[in-house]
Amino acid sequence: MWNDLRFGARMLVKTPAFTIIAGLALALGIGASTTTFSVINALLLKPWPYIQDQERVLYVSEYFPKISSDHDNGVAYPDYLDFKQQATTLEGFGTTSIATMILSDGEKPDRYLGAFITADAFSFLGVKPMLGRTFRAEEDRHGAAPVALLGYEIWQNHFGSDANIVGRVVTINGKRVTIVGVMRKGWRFPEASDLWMPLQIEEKENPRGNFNFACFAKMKRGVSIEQVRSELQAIAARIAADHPQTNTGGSVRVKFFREEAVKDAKTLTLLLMGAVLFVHLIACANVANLLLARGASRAREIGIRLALGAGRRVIVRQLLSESLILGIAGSALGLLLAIWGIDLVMRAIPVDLPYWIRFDFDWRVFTFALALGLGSAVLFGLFPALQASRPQLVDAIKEGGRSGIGGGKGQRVRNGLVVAEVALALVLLVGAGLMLRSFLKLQATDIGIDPSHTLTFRVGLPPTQFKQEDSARFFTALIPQVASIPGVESSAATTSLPASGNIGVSALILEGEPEPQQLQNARMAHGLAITPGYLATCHIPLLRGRDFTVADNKDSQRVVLIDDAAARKWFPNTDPIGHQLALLEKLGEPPKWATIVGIVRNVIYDRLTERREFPCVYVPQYQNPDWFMSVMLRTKTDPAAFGNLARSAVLAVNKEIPIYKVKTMDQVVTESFWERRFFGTLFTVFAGLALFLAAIGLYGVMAYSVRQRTQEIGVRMALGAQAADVLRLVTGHGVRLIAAGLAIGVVFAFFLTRLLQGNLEGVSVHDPLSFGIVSGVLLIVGLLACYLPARTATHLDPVEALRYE
Amino acid sequence: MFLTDEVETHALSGIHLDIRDGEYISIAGPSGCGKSTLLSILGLLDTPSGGSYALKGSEVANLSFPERARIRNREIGFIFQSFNLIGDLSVYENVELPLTYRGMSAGDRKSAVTQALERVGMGHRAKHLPSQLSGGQQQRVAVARALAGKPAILLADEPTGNLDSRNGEAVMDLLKELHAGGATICMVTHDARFAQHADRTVHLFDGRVVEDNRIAA
Repeated sequence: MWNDLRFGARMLVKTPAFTIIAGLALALGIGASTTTFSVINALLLKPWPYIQDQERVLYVSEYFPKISSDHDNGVAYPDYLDFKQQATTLEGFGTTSIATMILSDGEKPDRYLGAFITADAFSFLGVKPMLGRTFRAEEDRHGAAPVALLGYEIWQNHFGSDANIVGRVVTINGKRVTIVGVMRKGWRFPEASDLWMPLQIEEKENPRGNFNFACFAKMKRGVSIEQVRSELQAIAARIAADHPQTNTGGSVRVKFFREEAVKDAKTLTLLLMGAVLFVHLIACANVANLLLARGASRAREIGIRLALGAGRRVIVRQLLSESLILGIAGSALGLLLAIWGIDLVMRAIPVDLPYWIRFDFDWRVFTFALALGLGSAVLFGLFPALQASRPQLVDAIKEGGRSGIGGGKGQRVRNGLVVAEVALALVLLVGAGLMLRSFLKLQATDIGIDPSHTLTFRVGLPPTQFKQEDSARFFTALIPQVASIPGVESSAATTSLPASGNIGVSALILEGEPEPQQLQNARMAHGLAITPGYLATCHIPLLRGRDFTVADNKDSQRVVLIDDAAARKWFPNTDPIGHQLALLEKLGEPPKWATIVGIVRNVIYDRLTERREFPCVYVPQYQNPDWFMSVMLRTKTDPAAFGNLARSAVLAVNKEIPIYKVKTMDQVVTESFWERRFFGTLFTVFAGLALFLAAIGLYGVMAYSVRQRTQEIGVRMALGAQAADVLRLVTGHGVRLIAAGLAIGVVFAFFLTRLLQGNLEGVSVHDPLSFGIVSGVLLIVGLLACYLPARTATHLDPVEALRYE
Repeated sequence: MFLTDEVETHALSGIHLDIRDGEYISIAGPSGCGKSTLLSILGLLDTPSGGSYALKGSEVANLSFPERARIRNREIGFIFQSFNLIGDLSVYENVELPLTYRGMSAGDRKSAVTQALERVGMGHRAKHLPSQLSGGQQQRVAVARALAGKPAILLADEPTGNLDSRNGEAVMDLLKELHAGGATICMVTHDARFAQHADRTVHLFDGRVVEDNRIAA
């Protein structure tokens, strides 16, 4: 074997052009595949850091099928307590609520993303701190002394890796909090938390019906997820029976925690893996074609070896050794390309990823690359080796001797490989075309506002530190402060930015309607609070009535605005202006009636890829204060330049409040479908690569065919063929291959594009325009690939061609 | 004349040759004497570096490639030493091939092909592939291909070179038959036995005519 490898390496060095082309083709395929596999590894395979027995960790949510069968709510805190107390199949049940946490001991306040979490969560997840301890059970009670756990990065960056940090008292959200420990590097459960505090829930502030808490649990050993589901659903049914006003029609969803975390990306990532393996198959087909041609050119050498007594197995082993060397070299180069590819992928993702998604190269990625290289070597190398190892002995070792020129089984195999490449490329191109069209439709979606020249940022007043009326006063002071920044045309605040997905659904009743028995049976609408000037800042047309003013405050009549969809749906035959509606937070409490004073154009508040068709109700922030709002500034010049000025304006109102999530409105809109853009871009890149490789493959086969048919072409010229006849002969061969590939590819694409169902907006999976354009592009590229060899053939000297062997 | 590096090689020099209608001429000489070069020029596959060449009274030496291809297709029939049949085409299709370059109708082509195959005794093998024929049979098909377009002249380059003596004799008899039927044939051969089949033999040596037995006669 060692001799075979040595000889194989020598043969490869002797033919550098072949080696480089084959190696590069393989490297491209392996590099793209390995890049994609590292995404799959990060999402689906790599263990999450520190959590013990993570295959038993579950995600639990409540949902109401009548409202939305695939949209999960959180869990209401009293329901969580019931699940925790009554479940026997669980080792632990925890909940967490992410929150803004403002550290304000330094020169300026720093805002971090923290998480309130049940005290025993660390224990049943099996996670230990690096310094100090985790929370004790008594620290979870409402009113207990506040404590906090720091994440590694905040300990390192904010506290300078202070070795004596445990026991230090700091100010978080205006409270003095004792640091009890520091977590290990990389731990940011549940997604991107910088620090943790015990939940310390006050039950009366979190009644049933407020489904606000994200829950996680751990199954006991030996228990199945189906058993957990059955048990929790039974408990949910009991809760619904005991609390019909809030929980009737509710159900509980139990999934593996990882499955829930990756649900949005899993399908697309797996599709991407399939797509990139198609690219790799095309690369392998190209290398196989090159090896077939190489085998044919070595027929004499192999014939002599066989004549001297070499067994066929020996010949196959020797030829396969060259393939193995190519495979290993392809793996090595592919890994280098993958390192670069992963870096590009990470840069292309515009949002912060959960902590557990790490694209680093571990043993799985290396093993994948090596296995792919070796497996591909066998795939593309075995048939050519078998083919080359059985030449007709006599024909191979004697000169001359022919039974007609042209044709043969080898050519048929090469033709077949090219047809397969064209078919695979078409499938990928159709998929990419569909995703591109879908993405372009999303990009062209009119969300109802003018997002240009608008800066946004988030401001949060910790509820533990500020009362609701403080919030109203804060934003009353803030908006004019921000509006006074030179270059700002107008400003306003809202609880929900358009296209952000950060919007809730509220139940409501119209005047004259009885209060519903269950909230879930009530009319539903998106609800958000805005300050005066919001319509002007966003350029939302006021269709009828009036906008909110500063006079719409807690002392004046309650008013609302509704959108055009609400007006048509709820008041189809009458003018809504002057009518009343009430948003329902809890049944049994007197409804807070508000008068409709204006109708505005529809605006999309959901993420563009997760649209729910709810009408919209706007309430004045001054009558319905909220602690967390997004501030918007419409600017005369580049909005990105106003970040620091906005920060200073906020600090001028309250020096303990930082701003965060500073983005332009254009960025907000783009991020609302970033996954489509991201995956669409990757699909397009891979499809482009497939097209390139298929074109190279087609060119190679045609060029080889012209070489093989040189003498035949000479004969045809001798018989009077013109240049056009030769061109037609060569391109005709190519067109037949392309046509066969297109026909097969269209059939496969027709079935495979169904896998994209659910990931396309506004485009059918069988969109004829996409199929047509892609087929046309492939035909044109294919014809170009055929043209060069065909043109070469027309310039052959017939005398030389007749003598060619 | 061929140029390689600094060496000028005169493949042919001082060739004065005329071939009359219906003549059967053989061009003989040792290897490298310029026989194949002369045939290539006669067949308009190659252009002379000097001199003139008239075919049926028209000057053809310096025509463009497309014009030469057209004349080659209509006026010249080639018979090669290694047959040069196209392996993927059947016997019928091989014979039909030059006619497809003329724009003939399918019916006319069929008639011409059938006639040519019958003439060489290969009509019963029309659907066979060249790989299914013996060397002698392949050469017969090659002769049929050369004949099908009714060319002004048949050029045969060592037509028996890849055949055994029996098949070689058979092909020579066929050429004799064709000549008897009025065909003009120019054959290159290094085999003196077969050279004598022709009415006239031109001997070449080092690119020059050293003997022409028509002149001698």
